[in-house]
Amino acid sequence: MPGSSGSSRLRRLLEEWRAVDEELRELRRRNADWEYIRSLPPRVRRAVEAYVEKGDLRSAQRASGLVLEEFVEVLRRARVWTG
Amino acid sequence: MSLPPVCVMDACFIIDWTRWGRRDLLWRVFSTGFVPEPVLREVVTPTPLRALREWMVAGLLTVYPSSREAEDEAIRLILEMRRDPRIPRIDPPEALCVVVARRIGAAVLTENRGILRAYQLAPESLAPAVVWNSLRLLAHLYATGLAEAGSFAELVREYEDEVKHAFSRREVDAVARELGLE
Repeated sequence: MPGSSGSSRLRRLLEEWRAVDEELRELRRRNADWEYIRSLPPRVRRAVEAYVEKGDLRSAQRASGLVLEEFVEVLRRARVWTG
Repeated sequence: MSLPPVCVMDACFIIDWTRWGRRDLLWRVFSTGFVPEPVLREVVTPTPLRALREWMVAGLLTVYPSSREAEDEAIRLILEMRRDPRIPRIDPPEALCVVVARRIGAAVLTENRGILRAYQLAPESLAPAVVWNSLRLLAHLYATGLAEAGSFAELVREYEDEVKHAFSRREVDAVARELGLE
């Protein structure tokens, strides 16, 4: 049944995405330099924290008020690698 | 699906890839590339700008000029993707890369999860564009012998350490399995 094999592929894909998101979230939380993050201006700090939790680069960058590259540089300094 | 000889790069890909020492290997895979004008405006620091300039001077990279029509199509694509809550949000510059790639039958090089997942979910919806991230490009470089390394895992570590980009181990394993690199 093509419908059922399609829905099973979709289910596997969504499970995989959830697992990947969780793995990357754990990695960001574990490696982050929290002391550096706490030293950031409040708006940027909140944006970095949001990125650590959600991994949504564009939303976090917009919230930070920085341009994309500046925000990525802050993330690198915070040891929160993009992924 | 065969890989097109032309690529379109977004800003997330550019600002990471150009930090890698072996970045020029890109041009062993693609014969030419485009960067849409709004994407170029997002690149502001010396390292990526220097790489882009070198590639343009060498005739490898061309700026794809903005047009109202393409930008409108990008907005339509964003709205279409927002209807599916499983797809992370995408922004106009990334959407524009997909629009350009669809028009010219190119590969989109991006780290944007929205685009990567939309493509995983329904590749035909973005055809004839093909969507790759740096991990897939690294796997291709290793599989074809263009990037030498002790192992695929070693190549991935080299990229992660130089670029400060973290890959999911699950995704590294999946792409290695798919290309028989284990």
